[in-house]
Amino acid sequence: MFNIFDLKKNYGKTEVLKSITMRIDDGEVICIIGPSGSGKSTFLRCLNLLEEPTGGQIYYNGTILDNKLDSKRLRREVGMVFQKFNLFPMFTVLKNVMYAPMHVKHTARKDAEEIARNLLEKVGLADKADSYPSQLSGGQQQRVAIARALAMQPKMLLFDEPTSALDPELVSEVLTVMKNLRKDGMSMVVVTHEMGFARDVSDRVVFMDKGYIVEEGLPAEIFNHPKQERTQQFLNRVLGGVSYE
Amino acid sequence: MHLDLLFIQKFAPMYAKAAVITVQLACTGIVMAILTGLLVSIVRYRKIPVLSQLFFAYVQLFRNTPLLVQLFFLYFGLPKLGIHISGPACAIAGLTLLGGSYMAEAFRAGLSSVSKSQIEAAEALGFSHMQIMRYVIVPQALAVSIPPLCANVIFLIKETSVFSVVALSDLVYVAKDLIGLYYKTDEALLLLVISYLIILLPVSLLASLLERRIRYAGFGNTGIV
Repeated sequence: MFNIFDLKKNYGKTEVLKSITMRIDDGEVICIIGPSGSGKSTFLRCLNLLEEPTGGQIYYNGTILDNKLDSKRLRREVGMVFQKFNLFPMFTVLKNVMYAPMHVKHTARKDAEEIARNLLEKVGLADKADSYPSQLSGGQQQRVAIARALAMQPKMLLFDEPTSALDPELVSEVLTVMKNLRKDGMSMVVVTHEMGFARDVSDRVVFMDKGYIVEEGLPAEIFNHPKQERTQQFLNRVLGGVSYE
Repeated sequence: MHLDLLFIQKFAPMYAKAAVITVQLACTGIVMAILTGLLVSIVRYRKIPVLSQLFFAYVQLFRNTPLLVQLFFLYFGLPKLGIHISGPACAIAGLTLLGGSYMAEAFRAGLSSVSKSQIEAAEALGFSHMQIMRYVIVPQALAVSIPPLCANVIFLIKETSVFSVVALSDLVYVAKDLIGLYYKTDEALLLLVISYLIILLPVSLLASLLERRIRYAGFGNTGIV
């Protein structure tokens, strides 16, 4: 789906992404791991043009993304889930999920509602349809946010640290929903600090540091036999010496 | 003090007629002020070049001069430049321009209260800039803008009391006229006060009801937002 060549992103003189080259295939689940400030989130945000790259090329299904006009079409096909959920606070859960199909795709209200209710069922929140976001726990809000992104029937979902803002006991309910998406064949790119999820669920793990991809490979390779010293150091630190062998 | 009740009875209908004129002018001016304020605040929010600076100057000019002076300018000043405007048109134009500058500030407060993450969420869902404005930013901004907007409406209705300077037979004009003719100062002024109260009390009540609804129904929040 994506072919990325020598992607760069600067903020003024700060180089956040120095050179990223990778490809993302249909149906793939990729986890991006790495220390804070390594550019993971910025890279993810470049994929749906929330950030405008300052260098390099991104090809989406063979077409180069080089202007703002492409972004609306792209975003219909590539959804995003944010760390802080970013639900619309003034609407009920149901309306949050219906809103984009109704206004962006001009889906009829009845059809949009049906899609929304099915998706809420899928993320286990059918009974919360009439609640407001502020009445839900963080885990529930994030599941609504996933349903909202799915309502646009995207081909791929980008997750920007979807569980980082959650209390520990709420993390698993969100990860369960994501695992179910994987079973349905959804393509996903997940920036995460959940090493267990990265190891168990992804097809490929990408380790980023200081604006570069240091190493990428099958989860088993990265977690058990990292080739690069920096990957080793990072994993030792976050896993606290726990081996996954 | 001895009130001439017969006088009050006789001239109350005149006040009622003037009140209708006052309310009509106020309503027209306020609706136009709200539209002007919306336009100005959106242009300022989107930082549209040139227009944005122009509107900034407009807001400063009209927020910092009294309506009375603005009306003098429109009614006595413009004819010297060859532009003749009728009394009612002056009144509505004055109220629109003054109100627009106040409403613009009220809306600006609302617009700047909408966080960037809300806009990003909408962008990521494929909303266009115009759609984000209409479907995401404005509804949230309105909730924040309603209390200052209500205060502005009440303020603008009270400002109509200077309309008599452009020869409109509004409430103040009628009172001044009657005082001049009959020297019944107490009665004339009492009727004036009562007339304004009859217009403004329901508006105030409605405003506080609206504010309370927004505060307490506040998107599922139970306490004060």
